[in-house]
Amino acid sequence: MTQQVVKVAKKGKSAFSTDPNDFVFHSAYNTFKIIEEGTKEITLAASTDDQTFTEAHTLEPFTIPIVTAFAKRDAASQVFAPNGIDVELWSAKGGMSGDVTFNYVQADKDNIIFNFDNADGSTVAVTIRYFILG
Amino acid sequence: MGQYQQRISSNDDNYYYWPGGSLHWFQAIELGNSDWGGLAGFFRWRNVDVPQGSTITSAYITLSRWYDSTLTIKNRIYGIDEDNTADYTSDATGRALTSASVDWNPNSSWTENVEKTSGDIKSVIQEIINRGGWSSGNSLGIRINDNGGTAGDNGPFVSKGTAGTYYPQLTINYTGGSSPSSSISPSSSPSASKSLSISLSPSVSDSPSPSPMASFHGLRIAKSGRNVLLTDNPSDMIFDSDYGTLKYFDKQTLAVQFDANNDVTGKNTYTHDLGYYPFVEVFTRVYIGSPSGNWEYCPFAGAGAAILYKANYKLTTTDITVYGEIDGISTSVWNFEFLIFMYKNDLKLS
Repeated sequence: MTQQVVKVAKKGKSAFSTDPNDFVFHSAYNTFKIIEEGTKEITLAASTDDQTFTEAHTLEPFTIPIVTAFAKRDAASQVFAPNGIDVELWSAKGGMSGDVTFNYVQADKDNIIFNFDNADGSTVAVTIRYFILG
Repeated sequence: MGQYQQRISSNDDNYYYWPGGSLHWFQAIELGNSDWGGLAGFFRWRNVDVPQGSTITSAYITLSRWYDSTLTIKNRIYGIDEDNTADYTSDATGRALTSASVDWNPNSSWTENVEKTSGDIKSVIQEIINRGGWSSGNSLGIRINDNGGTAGDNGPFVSKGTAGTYYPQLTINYTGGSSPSSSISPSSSPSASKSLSISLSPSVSDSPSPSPMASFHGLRIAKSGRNVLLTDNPSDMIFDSDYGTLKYFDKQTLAVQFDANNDVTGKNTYTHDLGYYPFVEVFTRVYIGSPSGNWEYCPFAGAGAAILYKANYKLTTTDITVYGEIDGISTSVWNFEFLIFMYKNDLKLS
């Protein structure tokens, strides 16, 4: 039996192509859906590492979701992705020495979990934007 | 997916309760913890056209301060546990509250007419929408209590009676639910093969096929082995028009090169000029000499014999700047290549 699919080709590409990269949408391949998204405002304690914050999700029975997140210090204009790299996250200059670090984003079946270090001697307000994909 | 988004529409739909029994409305809504005790704000939105039985996927309140200030407040948000909440021309402090609540501790810096969004209060809204007497178009109430803030940390927020337009706003995103529109059966879905099950709605059919789910208006394509007629689970779908997707926009490459005899870090910038923070994914590979090595998900750190190398990136509303750095002793020319995938999805962080 011929497999029937729904395909939308990219501009300039043939819908009869067999290369999935030639398609904007192809029903033989899953599309990442944004199942949930939101923002979370947190305040990092001064001079404290390993600060964890959680945000409940309600994806049961979808178990542990795929999550990603970005964070922005409220007083700054730059946004960062998570991963525990000791870089100068919030400075306007491009050097790399530690201040605030967005260590990781994780998920379990109940919560999205965010972790930060703050080497600054003051509290730091941060806004997180998170996405659950599926 | 449906959305309800409205601002308070009447002076009688927002007020606050001052400790000791005084009621106030019109000019502003005072929240926080006063020197005389915690304050309670009441909010009511009319014509909430969310069908009973809907699944609330997200919900939030946006508030704006009346003027610039620094104010640290700790809030707990409840729903008014009623089918169709009356306005607040009479004392509402005795009205039953939802068992669900959400804490909201916004950052202390507030700018006039810049709205702040609460945490997700979908559990609160869901409890009200699930009430047996709830129906689309009813009025829905929210109460915001002080939740252990410091005495004296209280301040006014824009209300319907305040000059300006930033009245309290409620946003509810939902899926499913019983619709007041005519019953539509999904039985005309062209299930093309074992590997593809598509539902195009609205599609009217006279067939008496069962409708195990609430009516659906949109496009769904189920994964192989899943029945599009029997599941609302987005994980069962290749595509579901109830849920947005990452909209691929562009791919860019950037290179960072520096001579370790002179420097230990370098950067490069691409200008996207989108005017917002875009969703991006970045991959990096690091090498000395000819291009080689694996592409790694950025930010990342790696190590050689006596070297630690790392890469990261920053986003602004106009640019993406990538960085490479080494720690250790080296006399080589280092190359960091970055592959940037950009999506037309707004991070909404400004």
